[in-house]
Amino acid sequence: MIRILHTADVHLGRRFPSLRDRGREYRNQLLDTFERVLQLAVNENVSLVLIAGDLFDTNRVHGVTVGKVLSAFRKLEERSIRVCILPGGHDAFTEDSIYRFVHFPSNVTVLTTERTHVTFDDLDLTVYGRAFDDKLVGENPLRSLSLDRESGIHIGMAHCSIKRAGMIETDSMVLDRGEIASSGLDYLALGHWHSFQDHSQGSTVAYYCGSPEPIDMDQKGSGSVAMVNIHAKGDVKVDRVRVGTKVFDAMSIDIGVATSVEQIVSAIEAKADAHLVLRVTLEGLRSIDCDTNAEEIEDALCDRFFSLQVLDRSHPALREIESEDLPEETVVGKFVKIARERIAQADNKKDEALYREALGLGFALLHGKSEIIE
Amino acid sequence: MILQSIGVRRFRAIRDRTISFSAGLNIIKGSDNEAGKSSLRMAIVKALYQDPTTSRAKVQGLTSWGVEEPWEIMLEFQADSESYRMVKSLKDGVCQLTEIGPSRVLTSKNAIAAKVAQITGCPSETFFESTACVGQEEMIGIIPETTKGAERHRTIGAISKRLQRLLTGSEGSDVPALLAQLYAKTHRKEARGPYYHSQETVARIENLQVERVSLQAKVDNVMRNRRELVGIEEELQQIDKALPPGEELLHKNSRRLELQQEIERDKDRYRSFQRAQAYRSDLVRKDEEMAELAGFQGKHQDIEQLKKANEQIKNSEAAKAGLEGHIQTLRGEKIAQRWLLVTGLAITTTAFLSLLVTKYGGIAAVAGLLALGYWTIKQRDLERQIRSKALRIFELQADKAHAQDVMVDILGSFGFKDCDACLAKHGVYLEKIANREETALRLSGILGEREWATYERENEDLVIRISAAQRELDSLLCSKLETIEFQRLEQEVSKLQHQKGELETNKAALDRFFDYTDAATDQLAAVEEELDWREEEKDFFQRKTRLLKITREMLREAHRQTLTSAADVLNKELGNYVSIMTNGRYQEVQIGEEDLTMRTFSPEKLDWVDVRELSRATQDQFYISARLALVKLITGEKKPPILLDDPFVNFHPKRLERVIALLRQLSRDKQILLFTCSDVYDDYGNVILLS
Repeated sequence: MIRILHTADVHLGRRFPSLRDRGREYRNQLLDTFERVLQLAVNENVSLVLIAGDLFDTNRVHGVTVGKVLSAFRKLEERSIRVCILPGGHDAFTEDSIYRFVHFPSNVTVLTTERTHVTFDDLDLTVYGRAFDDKLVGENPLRSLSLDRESGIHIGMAHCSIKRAGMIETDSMVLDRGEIASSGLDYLALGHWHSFQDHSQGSTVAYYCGSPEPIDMDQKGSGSVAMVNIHAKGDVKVDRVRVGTKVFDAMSIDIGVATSVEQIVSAIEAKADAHLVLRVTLEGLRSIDCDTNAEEIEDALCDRFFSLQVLDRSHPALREIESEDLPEETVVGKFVKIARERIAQADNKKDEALYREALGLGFALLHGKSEIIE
Repeated sequence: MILQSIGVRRFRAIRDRTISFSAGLNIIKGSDNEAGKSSLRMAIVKALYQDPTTSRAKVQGLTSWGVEEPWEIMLEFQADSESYRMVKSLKDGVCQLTEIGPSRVLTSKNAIAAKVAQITGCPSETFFESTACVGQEEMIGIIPETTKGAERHRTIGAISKRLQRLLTGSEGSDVPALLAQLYAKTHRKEARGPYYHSQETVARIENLQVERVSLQAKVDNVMRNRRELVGIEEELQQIDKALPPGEELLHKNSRRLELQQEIERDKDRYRSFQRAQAYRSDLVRKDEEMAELAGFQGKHQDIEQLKKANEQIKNSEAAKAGLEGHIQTLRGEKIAQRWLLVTGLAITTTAFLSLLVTKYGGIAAVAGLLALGYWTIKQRDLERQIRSKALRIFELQADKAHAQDVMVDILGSFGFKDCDACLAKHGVYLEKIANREETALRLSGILGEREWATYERENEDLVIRISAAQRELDSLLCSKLETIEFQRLEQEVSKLQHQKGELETNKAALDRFFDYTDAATDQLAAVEEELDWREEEKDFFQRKTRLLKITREMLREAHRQTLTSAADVLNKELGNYVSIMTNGRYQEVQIGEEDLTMRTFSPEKLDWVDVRELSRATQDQFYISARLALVKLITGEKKPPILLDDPFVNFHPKRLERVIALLRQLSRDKQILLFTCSDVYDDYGNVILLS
């Protein structure tokens, strides 16, 4: 049996502006997790580690990061564990690619635009892959890869999207399901999508392993690697192994439905977890009695999460204001009238939204809610 | 709008009561404060505006104390020639407005609220309360009676401020204060508003941008150096490929030369060993030869004595021979001087004889005598010398005899009789000794400090080693380079090694450079990361600043327009009201559009005066007039009922008379509900007793 560890989309060196002060800490976490993934390869006695693109988030990566990666690869070298790296979209094999600057240990093979396969005779296995060089958007990553008939097992690597009806990919290569089925590969290690997904077609077992740690919101399938066990040709089993330490989650709270600030705080507090990156969006129509302040909630609860971001995307309940038919002889009536006129005359959606917000704000201020601008 | 009746169940102080109202002035009297006046007033308001489906404790709490079922109210009223019945039941959560004529029923909260707003001109409970309802507290101390001087001057804007506040259409808002607050938040840092945060963020961004430029330069430098490093590493790789074969060939040839030298050296050593072995054998042989001459060993002094005795004998014999010859000479000399004797004697004899002839013969006799004297002395001296020499010969003979004795003894000890033979043998002995010493010296020169056994052990494997080295040398002969080729290769390898050394030095320098500066990449990432979110933050605060500015601008415009409009209406209405209130003393009023300040024509001064300069009581009258006029202004033609919660309770009877006159005047056009404990109004309207 051949055991292979398949990872991708590690995004070492990525910047996390949304995490504010904890961005650097999380950037270091990605590196720690990657080192743990390679340690897992040692512990599980794998023969081969596949990195299907975006090992680095950029071609300008901190030298210490590169140093740690090389050091981790050398540990695999001591155990005779081979590593195949396919440059991805973020670390594309361009002129200034990091893969042109770094000399990896002898156990590491970087598949490039020129070198598209590597054979491991002792494993009777060949790994194929075509590096992304930012000129290949929309192309089939398996095109022009011909199988080495002398190898028993054929493993493909591709950093690409799977073709979806009605979707046009603008930043990656694209693979059709039929192309997977007809590839002749025993296993296809996919990267680019950050969630663990099975895209096996025909006799080809194909998986996205997901990124070891989530990189952004809406990546609930991330935080894992794929452990591929090839018992015999045609007998490939894939297990998902969780390695991530952090979880990214997003929740929306309808501020128009919540009866109090305490209720909103409780809803967020219920998710409190030191390993959770939570983005809360306050939405819906906010009545003038609502004194919810996103920044205050964030400050109050941020210690309970790895990172908490509370975004106020609610809108003033203008229908309520409009329906009241306020007398124009009053300031509030005049104000609402002027604001409505501005909203109607707004040149663009952005200004319209601003005037709507100004209407809600002014209305609230005129109803004694001056604390909302404190 | 005319309220016709109200049925109130379980609402605060009213358990169950139905009350009918008339158009015009209604005096709702309660004997004391517990009679339910306020409850009734509140019931009317709640009937119009309260959402009965609410669960708010404050509304639930309006239910009478001690009853289980929540309150319910039914209000009947007329408006625009239509009769309506409003039912609000907290008990059932019912909200129903029935238009009795067409029997149209509204049950939607929003529809009912819209209809009430349309009928009353007041869109909300708060609005109704602040517009159509006047309470006691509003009339108390508009301007405190005791204020004087500067303090009074500071409060002179109180009336216009109150009027302005009424015109906001909401409760408790001070629009000028809000405008000032909004201005501060958008223009002054000390207000700690979005302007402050925006400025702070911009400053931070500027700092970060400066830092980024510096870090960017460092990172660019790092990238350049990385490229350089890659170049170096590639060159090193090429050298590492090219160098080993050359080094190997060079090594083989160096080794070959080294082996040749080694073999030569070992052969030399072996030859030395062989010489040493010969010397050693020679020494053994010489030692054997020396055995027969062993008698001379350690007898050096005897030999010296022998030689000395031999020499002494020879010297004695030589000296004796010399002395004997000398004696012979002396004797010959003694004989030879006989002529002098003869001559002396002849002269003397002759002289003495001549004396006989001549006196001068005496002189000749003296000369003859002198010659005889000299001869005598000379003879004696020669004799003495001969005796001395003869004595010396005797001594020499004695010494010789002694030396001969010594010689005989020594020769005897060596077994010799002949001294020369002995000395000749000793000479042979000495020669052999010298010969042996020279051989020993040569052997010692080879051995050095080593013992022979050690030296022998050292040389035991020499032959094998030479043989092995020779075999290795033979194996290297296939790689043998001619001297010129070897020198060229040596130069090439040396050049490559030098290049490699330089490249490795440069590489090490670059590695050190990366150690120190590569962290800049991460710092740059952190700075760019912060810049990203600071830009977001800046956009957020700038948008918020703009939002506040827009809000302020619209609010200021709304305020201005409202005051202008209010001033216009008040200018038309207020004169009539003030005339009634002041019994015709003041009849004309001018309202400032900017801030609703009031001026009136003073009959005493025959000029326009600021109301703020009038007495406090007169100012109160102006305020009440303006306050009631504003109801008309704000509600327009809707004419909601005016609910007065005993606002004039503290008025002086004379002033109250004027108020009643005004209320009567107003009640011709509007329904007024005056809630009071006083009987003073009894004659002026429909009295409804609550107690």
